[in-house]
Amino acid sequence: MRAVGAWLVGCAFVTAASIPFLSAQRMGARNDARVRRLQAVWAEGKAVPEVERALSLRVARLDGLLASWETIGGCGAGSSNGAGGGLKWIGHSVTGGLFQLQTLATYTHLSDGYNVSFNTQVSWDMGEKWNAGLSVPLLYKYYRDMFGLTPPVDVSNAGVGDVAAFLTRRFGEINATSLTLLVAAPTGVHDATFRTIPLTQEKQLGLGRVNGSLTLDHTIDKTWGLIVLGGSFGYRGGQNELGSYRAPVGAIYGYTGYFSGPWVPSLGLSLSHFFGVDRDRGLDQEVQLSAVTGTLAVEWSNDSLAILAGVSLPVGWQKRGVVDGAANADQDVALQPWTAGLGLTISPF
Amino acid sequence: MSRLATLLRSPWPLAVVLGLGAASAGLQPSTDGDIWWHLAAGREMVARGALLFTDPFSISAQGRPWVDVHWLFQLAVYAINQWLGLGGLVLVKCALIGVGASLLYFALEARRGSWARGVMVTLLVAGLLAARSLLLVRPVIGTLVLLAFFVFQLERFRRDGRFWRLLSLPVAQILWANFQGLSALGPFVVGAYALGALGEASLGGLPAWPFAREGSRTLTPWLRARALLAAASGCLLAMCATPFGVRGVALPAVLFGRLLPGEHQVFAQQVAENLPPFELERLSGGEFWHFKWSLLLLALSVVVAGRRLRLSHALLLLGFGGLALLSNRNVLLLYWVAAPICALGLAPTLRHLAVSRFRTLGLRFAVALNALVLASLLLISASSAAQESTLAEPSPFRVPVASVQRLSTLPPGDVFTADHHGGYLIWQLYPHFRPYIDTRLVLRTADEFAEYLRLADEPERFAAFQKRHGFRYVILPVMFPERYQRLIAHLYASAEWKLLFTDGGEVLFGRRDVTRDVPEQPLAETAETERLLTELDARFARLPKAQRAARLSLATLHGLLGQFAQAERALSGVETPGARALAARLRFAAGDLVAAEKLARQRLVSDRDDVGSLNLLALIALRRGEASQGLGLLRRALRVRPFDPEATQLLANLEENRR
Repeated sequence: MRAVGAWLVGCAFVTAASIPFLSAQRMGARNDARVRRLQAVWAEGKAVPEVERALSLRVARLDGLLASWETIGGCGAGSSNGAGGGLKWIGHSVTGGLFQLQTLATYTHLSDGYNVSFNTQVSWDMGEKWNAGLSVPLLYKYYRDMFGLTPPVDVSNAGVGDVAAFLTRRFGEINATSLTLLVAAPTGVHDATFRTIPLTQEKQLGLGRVNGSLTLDHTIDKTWGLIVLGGSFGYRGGQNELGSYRAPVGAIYGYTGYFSGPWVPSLGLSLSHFFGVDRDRGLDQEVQLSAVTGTLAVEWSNDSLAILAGVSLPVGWQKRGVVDGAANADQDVALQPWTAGLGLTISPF
Repeated sequence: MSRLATLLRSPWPLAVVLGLGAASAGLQPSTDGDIWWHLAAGREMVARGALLFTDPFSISAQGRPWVDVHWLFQLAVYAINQWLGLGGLVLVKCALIGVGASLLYFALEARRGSWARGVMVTLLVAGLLAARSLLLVRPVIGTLVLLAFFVFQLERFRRDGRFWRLLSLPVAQILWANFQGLSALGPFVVGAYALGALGEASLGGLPAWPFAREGSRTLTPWLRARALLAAASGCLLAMCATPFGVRGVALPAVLFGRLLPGEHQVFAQQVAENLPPFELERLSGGEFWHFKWSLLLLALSVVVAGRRLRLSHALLLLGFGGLALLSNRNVLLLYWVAAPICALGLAPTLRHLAVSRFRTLGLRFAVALNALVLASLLLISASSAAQESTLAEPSPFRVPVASVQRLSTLPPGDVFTADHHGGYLIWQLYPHFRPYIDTRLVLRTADEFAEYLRLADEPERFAAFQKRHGFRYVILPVMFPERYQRLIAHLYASAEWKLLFTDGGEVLFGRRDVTRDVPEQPLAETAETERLLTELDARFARLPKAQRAARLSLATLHGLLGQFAQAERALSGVETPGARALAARLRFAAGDLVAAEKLARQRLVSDRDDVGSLNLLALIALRRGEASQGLGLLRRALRVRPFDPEATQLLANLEENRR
């Protein structure tokens, strides 16, 4: 109460700052109503009127256009150990700058801990057909009571994951199809230990070998929104010098987003399959070879800034692997760790 | 302690960084249309040995009273230009910005452990960089320095209570009043501090008084209030000390009145720099994206300041915030004044967050983060400056350099120009050639300005206007701004006018009866397009961005005149979104709907929100009778940008035709 002066001034500035948003909402609603009225009139069978032929030759922007949004999460140790951790950014583009800078923070909830990653990508358009970029993941992995000791000992591992470079080629008359090759260098530590005890490979920051992926996307543009269909194949590095192995993975997916002014809510479904069982220092790890992942996200954007928030929940089956010497192969369907993400992108200059 | 450590602990390194950062934000070639008539006025005053009280330069205001309160600025810039040239003017401008920023820096108290100065440096450099387009070679630069001086003296007085600091303000006010119409800000700033002190003196004893103390205990609140009121009165009186007396004092009020929006207020609605920033953002987009975020940051800073906020500072923020909301040109003033106040609000909270929880690690992290942000800003500033053309010449496309050169070889006569071209014509060719109008809009009535604007929007009116004035020449820009494109097409098709010169960015028309011996430029010929392209490529060889813009402008000009093959030739090799968007529109204008649709859809894949392409696709669909598809596309465009002028106009046209 004694700071009421500051609060009043603060409220005045918040009110002023909200003017563009509120006026856009109001104008948007008015425009929608006007368009609906026209639709109703024409639905009655009245002829579509002739519109003026003259069109301004003004083109609003002269600057370079940035790359379209690419898959976030991607390959390398930045993604979770399953196939369902990735969020695909579906929504408007941020345009107008020389390059695009994008950061996505994800939190993956594990039964015995959590993984947090900050994946930063910078990309450039090289003409109309090509785009190239770099991806740098920062990882923080935390595991509770890892050894079942009393008192319990928690373990964390943090640092840079596998840094990746990617190249995208667009195809088709209107560039609706794109093929992205991503190659990650083994920059993440893959042999971290806790008091001389080696951490298992999913707790490491990298695999220690070059890995990569190939992704094919096709975008169908609709007046109400967009649909993205695609597939990817990921080579996760194979076997490293410690005898740890990560199996290749393939996925097909479909996403759809609805345009509602600056907001784009989207949902998607992805089906993935691992072509083999992961091994840690020669021992099979328990994995579910197949998974279907549902993703729900919403993006807000303006010309220079876009923010995305989303969650994904994978459901896996085809459990495989040999744990503690006992064969383990059942068909149990089970939920896998869920992931929540918050991303930001800007296009400076 | 080593000498280096001693130096780093002193306030000077940060002050120097701020000065350089602030100065670098202004490092760009002159883009403004005003500077030219300022220079011409300075030259004229020197030639006459007297001040100017009536307009000698333009046709439409010839002989009218001119309250030229900028006379001191004009003499100064003329002298600098004679001595150092246009590049020197820009460098002096940058130096003044740096000096002003340093004054603001030293206005903040240097208390041990205070982060206010460090935070302020980053905020101010960021603000100036964001408002870079407003840092023009104009009297407003003097206003920035004087504002900083006022804040410096008032903050110092707040701390030490020395009266002589206030005595310097009316003296500075006399200088300000003879420099720019914004000099009324001087009494306003002093008045804000006086009101703050008055509020504290009368109500500060109440437990519920929600503001911080206005000053140290060296003076009683009433004595402080009386001293500040006297200083404010002194500044008001000092405003009268101009060669223009009461009219000089009234000028700020007249100018302020022209900023007030209203349905019939042509100056508020049609002059780009007078538009409210949010409205400008709706129409063009991009330039003021930062404004709403800055307002939110200001809100955050005052809320976290809580009872540390002073009433005087709150009044300054509200006053300058109101001015900025009224007119985008004032955004710069808000950022300038708000940066130190915002820093005072944020710094203690940031320090508390970092140090109280994380101690030395938090301190180191915060210092490193601030340094990183500041370094990034300086890098952006340097990068922006490096992409600019030479400071010694005007910014490309802004003034009709080539047309004026061509005009200087032709018989003298009156010229119809775009308003922002008028000043350059005056500077280069007065008195042999005079423009109809320039950007001294204070010399024009609202009706006159509205009539002038209608000529661009409804070019069929130009013949009657021409009969009244008998212009011999017309000079217009093609794309910067694009407002005159219809008039260009109209004059090109007219039997009375012929194109004497164009380089694609500007056009010079001459009346056929007075330029019989002057050859017409054969723009319709392919060879001429090739010649122009070669010339433009050579002219902008070191500026690829300007080179592309020049080609785009030439293509636009060809398109306006129905020369579509030449337009496409001009666009060949330009792989920018703007070029692709223009190519789509050129195809549409040429009647090739299939190709136009294909190009527009290509743009949409790259940028799903490209409203221009959505508008074009909507038009194509409607032209084909696909009403549902057309309306769907139009709705999508309007959802992305509800105020888009083209989309809203298309919707209005459809509603009109329905009736």
